[in-house]
Amino acid sequence: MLAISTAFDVVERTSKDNNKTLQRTSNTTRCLNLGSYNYLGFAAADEYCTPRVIESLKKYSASTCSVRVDGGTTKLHNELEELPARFVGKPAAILFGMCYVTNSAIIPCLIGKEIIQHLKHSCPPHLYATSMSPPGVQHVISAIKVILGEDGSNRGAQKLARIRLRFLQVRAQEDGF
Amino acid sequence: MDMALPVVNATAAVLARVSAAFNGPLARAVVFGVHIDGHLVVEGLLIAVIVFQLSRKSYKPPKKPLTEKEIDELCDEWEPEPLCPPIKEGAKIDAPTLESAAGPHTIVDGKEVVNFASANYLGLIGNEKIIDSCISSLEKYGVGSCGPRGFYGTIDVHLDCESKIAKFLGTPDSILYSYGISTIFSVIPAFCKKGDIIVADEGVHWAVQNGLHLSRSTVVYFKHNDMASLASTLEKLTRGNKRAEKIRRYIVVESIYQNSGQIAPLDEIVRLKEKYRFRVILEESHSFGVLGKSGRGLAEHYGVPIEKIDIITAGMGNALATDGGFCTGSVRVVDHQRLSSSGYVFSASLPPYLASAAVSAVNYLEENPSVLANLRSNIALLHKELSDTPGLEISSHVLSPIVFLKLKKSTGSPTTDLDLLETIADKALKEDSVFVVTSKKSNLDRCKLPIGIRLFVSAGHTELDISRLSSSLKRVSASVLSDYF
Repeated sequence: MLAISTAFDVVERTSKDNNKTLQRTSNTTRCLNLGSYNYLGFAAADEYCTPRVIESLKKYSASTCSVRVDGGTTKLHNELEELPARFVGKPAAILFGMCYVTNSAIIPCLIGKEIIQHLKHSCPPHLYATSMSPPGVQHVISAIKVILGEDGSNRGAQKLARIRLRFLQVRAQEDGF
Repeated sequence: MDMALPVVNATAAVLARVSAAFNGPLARAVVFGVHIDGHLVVEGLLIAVIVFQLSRKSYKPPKKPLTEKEIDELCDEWEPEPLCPPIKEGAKIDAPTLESAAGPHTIVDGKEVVNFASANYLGLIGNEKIIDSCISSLEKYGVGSCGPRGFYGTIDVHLDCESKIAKFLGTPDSILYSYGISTIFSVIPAFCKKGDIIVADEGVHWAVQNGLHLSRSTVVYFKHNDMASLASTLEKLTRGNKRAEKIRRYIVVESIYQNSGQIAPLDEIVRLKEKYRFRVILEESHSFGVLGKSGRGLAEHYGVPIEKIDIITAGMGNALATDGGFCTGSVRVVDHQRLSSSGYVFSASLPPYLASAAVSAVNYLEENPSVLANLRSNIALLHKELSDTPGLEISSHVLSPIVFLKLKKSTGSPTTDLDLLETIADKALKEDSVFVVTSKKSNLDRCKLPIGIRLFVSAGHTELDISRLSSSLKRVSASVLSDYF
């Protein structure tokens, strides 16, 4: 599959053993994308996010090769811990590189300063996992800023308004589904 | 009257039988030489029940229900138990903030420092080829994949990365995970279930411990990197145990132990595995791209055929300077994980630019084997330079890129030991601009190995960087530890 957007190119595959193994071909099919969790459309190249992500990649590289409590905390990681807390109106936040680990390691993610301090001190993924890739961190920062309108445009509000239209649901109901 | 007579007679007959039963020889008890009839026992029990019932507090509903104001007052007065214990002031972790890429030299809190805190073993952080491949990937695919691998999250670069790793290691297939530490703690529970036996090294790091816990298998630990202990453990578990032959049995080890810098003797482990018929799960996060003539890991280092290791996992956040992890092995081992491994099934797939970075990093390693020679000479030089550091000794293997310095003599208190080591690390950073870190532990970590200063050596370090580190550590440790030893 190529490029997560409203449409993407699906790579066709063939099999010589009844689909036990599949080999990719050079053919692709353009498909409408209704299968990705790309609710606000930030996954594809974005006029505000992508240049900043590339800039952060050049500055910080793809990885810190270190855990948060050692040499894996950049200015971006600190900024991203401040932004969502402000966004949801909580005193503090803690950042994990994987949603699955966040859920399995800690349930109270954005509760209070003491909880966050406690997690930073004793939560194993914070102490032992390589910190989140800086360009990925920058992408989330930029996306939240767009949603908050801090990018100097109303694109965030437009995205939220568009997703609330529930156009697909309404049309499906009209068509008898 | 005539009709009631049979009922009365029947009742009398039943009572007569009951009293006969209670007064019979079997119903009599002798307590301290006194004969007690059966009915006395029953009556005693009844009295006990009555006393118990009378002594219980009877529920009395409040005479007058609480007013709204009283309820509010009670709520205001109520103070819940804290959700977590308070953290002692000295125990708070304030990580230094990096202001540039975490290469051999980085900027920490506005000051350029020599960086020995990042596991950037091959010096690939900031590598232009890797950054270029990331940029082209970002422009083509965007940042995130927005879906798990089985649900529109598989992008062609993921498949390229999987085949590249499998080809590089000489295994039939491999599988990508989106997070380094979740790889091992998803793989272990995918194969090891309740009732299985796992024999694990007591020095394994938290991610492995978590995998062992999640598997619900019977876990038996052997002494850290001690093959005699492993052999005796396997012998005890299998000798004369018919049931052991029918259940799945695993040995779980790390190639280079994150908690000690020791290297597992794979040749001996494979010999024992074959003798006792166990399977081996090998965690290679710190040896992949580091050990072996061409960086293919522990199997190449010991000359062990890779097919003799059943399951190999590794994080890509070290030598490859990217993120995520992989598991490699037979086609069957890999295919099983695609539907049974929680970290693979329930997580969004690895961002495509990181998969591109991994492919570029493996290509770089294949094209530039000299980078391994640089790394090894740096490790050897560091061992030589730090051999006479006051109060500290190297406890790691001579080929390990994790150079582990522990106190020659412990104070007897792990907290005091950590404080001393933290002081050394802080002084080295503040006074000499040398960035080193201690091996901090979570209170959920069951590993009992001693803590120490953990130095990550990179092929990108120069001789000057290493001499700067050694002179700083010698000076600082001499001043900090002089009062103790």
